Amino acid sequence: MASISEITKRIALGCIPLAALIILTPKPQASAQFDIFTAVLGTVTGMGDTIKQFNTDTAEIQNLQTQILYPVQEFHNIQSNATSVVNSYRGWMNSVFGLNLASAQTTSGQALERQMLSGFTNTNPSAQMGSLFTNAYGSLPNPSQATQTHVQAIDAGDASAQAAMQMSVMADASAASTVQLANSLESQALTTSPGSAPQLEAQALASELNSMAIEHNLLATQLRAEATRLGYRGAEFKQGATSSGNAIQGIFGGAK
Amino acid sequence: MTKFFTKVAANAAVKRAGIVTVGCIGFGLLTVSPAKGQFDTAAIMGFLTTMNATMQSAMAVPIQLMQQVNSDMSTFTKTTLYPLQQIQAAQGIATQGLHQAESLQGIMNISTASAKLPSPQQLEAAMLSKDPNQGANISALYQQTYGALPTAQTAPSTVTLAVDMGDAVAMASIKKAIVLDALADSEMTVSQQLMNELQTTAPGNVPMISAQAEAWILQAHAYTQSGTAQLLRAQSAELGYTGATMKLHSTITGNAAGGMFALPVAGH
Repeated sequence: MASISEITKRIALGCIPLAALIILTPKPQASAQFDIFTAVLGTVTGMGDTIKQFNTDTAEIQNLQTQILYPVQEFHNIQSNATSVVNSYRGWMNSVFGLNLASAQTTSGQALERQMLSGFTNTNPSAQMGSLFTNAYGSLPNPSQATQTHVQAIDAGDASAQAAMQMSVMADASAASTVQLANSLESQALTTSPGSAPQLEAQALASELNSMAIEHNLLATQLRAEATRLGYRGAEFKQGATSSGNAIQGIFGGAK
Repeated sequence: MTKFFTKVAANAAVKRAGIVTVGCIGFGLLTVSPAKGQFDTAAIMGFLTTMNATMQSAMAVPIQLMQQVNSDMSTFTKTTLYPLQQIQAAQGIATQGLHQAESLQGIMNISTASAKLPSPQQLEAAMLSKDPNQGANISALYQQTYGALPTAQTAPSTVTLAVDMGDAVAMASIKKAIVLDALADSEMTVSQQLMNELQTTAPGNVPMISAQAEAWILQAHAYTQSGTAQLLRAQSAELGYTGATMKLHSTITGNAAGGMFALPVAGH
């Protein structure tokens, strides 16, 4: 029978291979690392799929822009049509717009007419209007020829008439300037891009507002002229009433 | 049994074997890396090769395509939709429009006054003042120029009524004219302000200015309608005067024909 010492040695020797076995046993992490390689590949492939989808979407947006929203061919057609409109109408319209309207036959009438149709040339259109108007329509009656109310009514009427004539000169100048600006906008529209067209549109709208302001000035002048006309009629009635005592004379000629 | 294990544990050889075993295990745990066995160069290279090929096919090619599409879109946007030259040219048109608007406002501000007598001059000054506050003075200035209403002793009531209506519409027209001139001044100022902004506004923000201009234009149309309404009233008052003239003449003569022929006198 082996001694205790011998048994101990055998146990010790047996433990050595056991320890080696423990050391050399593959660890579970090994398979985990191969799993992560697969996962990385999966992630990369997934990213690729996402990029492909993103690329598809981007291409569709590009197609929408170039084929549906802003087709270049249509863009060229619009410019071509606009050029055709300019070539067909601008010259003709400018010539019609510039037709000579003068018709007066007498010297004084022609002089006043020239002033009224002169347009604005950086000089005050009122400068000669007074004398030209008086030459054509006569001067105010003196106190021995008419009552004060009559003379005042005529003075206000003449002033309103002259103001309207001057305003007509200014309106012609405004119209010419507006046509010029409109032509500039149209010419620019022939070469502009779809992105810049709204800029021209905004400019046209701002100019339209300015143009409407001038129309309001003209409407105001027209209202003053109408008021003056009513003032004349009223003055005749009043003068008749004063002179005849019943206004009938004034209505039927007493205010002459 | 317990005694047996006590003897074994006390044995020196057993102690030595135990120490050696523990030492071996400790040495093994400390010196051998279990993971080291995984980094087999061939396996790693194989994985990298596969991953490279996957990245080439799955990522690089689509990204290149996407870059091309984006590049095309960028070129299309910059050269076709929003070329800088066209943006600047449109802004230049705004400068031209602004200068013309300023010039026109200067023209429209030229005085058109020409009355010679004191009362008509005062009335004219109020009419052309562009000051809505002058509306309160119009009645007195108008009567000063055109006279007051006939009294009951100097004219029949039909005449007084016709004159009163005619004068009232005339004065209302003058007040409306003053208002329109004042509104026109504001419109010109805003119009120039918009043009001033358009000289530098980016195309993307321009619709905001357009919207503002559209709103002002709509408002201006309303003012035009209001002014036209007053013009209609003035013209209807003219017709009223003509009708009153005919009626009075028919009252006197028994027929309206004389009244009709008398119209040129009243219309002088």
